[in-house]
Amino acid sequence: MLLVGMLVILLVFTMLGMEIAWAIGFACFVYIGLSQLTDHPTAFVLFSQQMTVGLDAFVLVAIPLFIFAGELMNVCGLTQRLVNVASAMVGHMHGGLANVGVTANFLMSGISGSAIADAAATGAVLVPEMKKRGFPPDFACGVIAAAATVGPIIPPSIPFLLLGSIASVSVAQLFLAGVIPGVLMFISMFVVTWWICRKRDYPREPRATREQKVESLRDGVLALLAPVIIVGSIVGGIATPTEAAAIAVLYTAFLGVAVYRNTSLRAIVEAAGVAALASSIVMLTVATSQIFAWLAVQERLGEYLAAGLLGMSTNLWALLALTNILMLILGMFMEIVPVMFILGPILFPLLAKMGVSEVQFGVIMVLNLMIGMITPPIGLNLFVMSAIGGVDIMRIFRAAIPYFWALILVLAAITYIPALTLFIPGLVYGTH
Amino acid sequence: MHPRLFVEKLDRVIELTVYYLAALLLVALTAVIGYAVFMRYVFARSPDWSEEVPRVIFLWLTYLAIAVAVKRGQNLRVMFVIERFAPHTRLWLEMFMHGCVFVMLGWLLWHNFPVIELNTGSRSLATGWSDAVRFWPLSVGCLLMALYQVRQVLRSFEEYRRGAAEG
Repeated sequence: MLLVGMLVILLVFTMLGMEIAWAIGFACFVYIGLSQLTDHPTAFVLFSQQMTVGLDAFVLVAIPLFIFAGELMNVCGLTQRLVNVASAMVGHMHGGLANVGVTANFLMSGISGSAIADAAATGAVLVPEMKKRGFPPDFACGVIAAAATVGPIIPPSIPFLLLGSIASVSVAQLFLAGVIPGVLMFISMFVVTWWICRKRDYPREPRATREQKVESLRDGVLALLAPVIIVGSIVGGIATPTEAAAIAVLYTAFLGVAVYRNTSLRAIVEAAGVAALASSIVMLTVATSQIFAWLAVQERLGEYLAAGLLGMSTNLWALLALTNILMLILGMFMEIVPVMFILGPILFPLLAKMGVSEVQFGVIMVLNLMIGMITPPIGLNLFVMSAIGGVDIMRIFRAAIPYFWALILVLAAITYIPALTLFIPGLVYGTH
Repeated sequence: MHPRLFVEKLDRVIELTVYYLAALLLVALTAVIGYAVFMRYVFARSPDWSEEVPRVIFLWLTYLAIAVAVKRGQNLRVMFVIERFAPHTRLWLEMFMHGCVFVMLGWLLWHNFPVIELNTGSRSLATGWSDAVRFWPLSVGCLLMALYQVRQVLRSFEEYRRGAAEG
């Protein structure tokens, strides 16, 4: 009963516009308050203690650092360089700047690891340009909102870092497992954009000359090296994910200060300030979500959910389809962090018992939640693009529907073909 | 100086101090981890505190930065439902939600003191710091956030009055 109350409070306050982290915290607060009236009260002091202990993990330190690296990318002009590379390579094809957006997001995903950050960075550069070229604003926003979902699938990835700590899965293996699904997402979204733009005769960019292509590649090669350094250092055992995140920051700052010579110390501190604020919002959500998940476990939500799922079917394929539907629905109504904290400890052991690799399921979970970022009512990429493009979120969602189906196809593929996620980790670590 | 101007100036000074402190902590976090990696590969001697210090910096940085984020209204929230309400209803809903958060922050602050007290006696092996240093950021953050919640309530009232006056 208390659990239902907690879920209702969370949904009502979220929909009424309370900050998501506080809505989660307030639901927990009310739960603990009401539990004082029962035979097994939960101590308030645990709430306070957990707000610190929940964040006191070295792997979580990587999150502000990756956000900092992403912020520095904008300051140092790396985002613009990656957009230039994408523009020179694919701008002349059907899709024009829209496919430049898809490609730029794919290239950027190797550095920042956050879908919202990528959407904001590429959206701010490309949406005004796309509008100028005559693309409808809702399509311009929709394509960038969808393209940014690849960010947390291609390594590095903030959701994979969180899953590493929630489900005790190797972060390095999750990073590697995301590569093929990320490439599939990119190809599917590229094809969808190509097809839509060809059908509607949207404008294309002039074809870049060979010299222009070489010039843009030369200019962007150091930015393109960043993901290799980050992932290489983790997979090669040189650095932990947190250390790799610090290396990413130092590398990006080095490019800005010493190579491109366009970044001052003050600009770096300003970027750190922006990143600190952005990461603090994520971390507050992490802290309150952990308490929410802990209380849900106390209320035996895991047992009910597992019994409910197994009651519907014990067939593995059907069970995977059911978990996907569950995560897609929750992803529509909740932010990704609480869903991971609530469902992670329940679904990982359940599916592991049935023979599903935790690494594969980690990628499936994150892709489900990324799809939730372009579906209303709580699709954060839609919010970001709505703010940038000044377009209503429902119009952006309608424009993004073809991408939604493309991503669902990729989801189905990685759900039922384990090799798509497990091939590269198996190659590197000899597991699976 | 007019009291209102003084309060506004103080408000700005506190905000900028906390903001730049958080920014510098993030820079320091990068430097500390970078130093640990450098020491490990160049001198084959990683400092003992290479995990503990970043964790402490991270906690302080998070709870200081979240206070500034609250003040600047930088948050993840769903607006399309509340925007459909009439201004008067919206004002009272906003007040109610700020009130809920304020009470929760007060509760968190109050119940964090026993946690701090409990950890004051124990010390970290690597740094020798008191373990309470990890639990103080929540209290400082709650205090600042509560302050900014009050400020947001006042601002909401002011915006409502201005909107009503403009018709």
